Amino acid sequence: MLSALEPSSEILHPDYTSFIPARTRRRMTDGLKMAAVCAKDCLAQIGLEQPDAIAVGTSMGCSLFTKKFLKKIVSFEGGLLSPTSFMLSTHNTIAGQISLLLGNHQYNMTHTQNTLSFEHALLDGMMHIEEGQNNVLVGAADEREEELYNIKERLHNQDVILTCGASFFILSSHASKTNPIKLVDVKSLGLVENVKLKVLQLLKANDWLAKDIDLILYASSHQTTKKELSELFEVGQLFDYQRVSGLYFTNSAFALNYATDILSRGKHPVEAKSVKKILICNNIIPENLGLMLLEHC
Amino acid sequence: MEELTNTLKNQIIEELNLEDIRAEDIENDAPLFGDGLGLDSIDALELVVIMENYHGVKIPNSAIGKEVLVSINSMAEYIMQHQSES
Repeated sequence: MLSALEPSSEILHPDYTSFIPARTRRRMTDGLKMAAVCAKDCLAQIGLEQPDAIAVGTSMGCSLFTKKFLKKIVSFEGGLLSPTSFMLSTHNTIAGQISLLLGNHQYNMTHTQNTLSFEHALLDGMMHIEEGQNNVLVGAADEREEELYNIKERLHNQDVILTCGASFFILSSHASKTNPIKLVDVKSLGLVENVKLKVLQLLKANDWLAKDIDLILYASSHQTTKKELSELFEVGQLFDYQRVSGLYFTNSAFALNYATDILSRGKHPVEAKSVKKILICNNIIPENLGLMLLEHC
Repeated sequence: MEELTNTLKNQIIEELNLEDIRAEDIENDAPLFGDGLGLDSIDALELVVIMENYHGVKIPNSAIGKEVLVSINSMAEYIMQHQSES
């Protein structure tokens, strides 16, 4: 089991030099470097050179470059602007840069939908699989933005440690022989007033019952989510994944990674129970709800 | 002149995110493109932006750009010449 984050926890970065050429690296912010390295490592783990499509979710994009670009607009009073900061200040640079780094000429798209960005990328990937693609690279990345600490009191969730991260996956049309985990369903819902109702609707749509689910990984900014979920599930089944991921707005991708690890081992992260079915419930912002159902086949 | 060349080197390192290079690593006469610092066409635009925003000197066309954006010395000389004219 992963340890819960402490205020003294540090963000660790991999050695980017062994993954990204120096000339490319200097035009990348941390978020982009994390995404690129994670995507390359994901492909290497299953021995796949090129995916059939790339879909990435990011809430803040390359926020460090965006901030730099905006500051220059002000400080140079509308004068000439840096082309590099401009190129990298757009959110869609993430999927584009991964594509360039891989030499991939297929579809690539970056989705930005606040706390549901990763879920949108997943839905995009699933549609490509349904249309006949075999392997789609799907992931998410958000970088650490120091300015967020200055406005932390305006964020919904004040008790969680602000972090950053990148997670990438291969959605495949065929089950893996070594690690057969099925992404059963994904929902991205806005203007949500009743989390319990939406969860029940998702379960019903997939012919699942609440008692079928062994573990619920959830993220929330308020007590209501846990209260509503506890009306459907045992409290011991609920696990707040932000205790181990910290808060960044695509941390549901971390939850999916954590869920696949748990399903691979088949063991509950806290209790001595087997786990075959997992619900991920991303409710970081009260009105936004991302739901994912997974099972070990 | 020396102060200007050092300023230019630091601005280039900062604006072009040259992570592993220090100002003292850049020779005043070394070529900025190709075998020297290995800059590319996007960097050329960044140099034009540095010249205009930080030193108030415009590069009016690509022909002059090819003469000026050769080395730290050629950039510094062009800046000094045009700042004194204005």
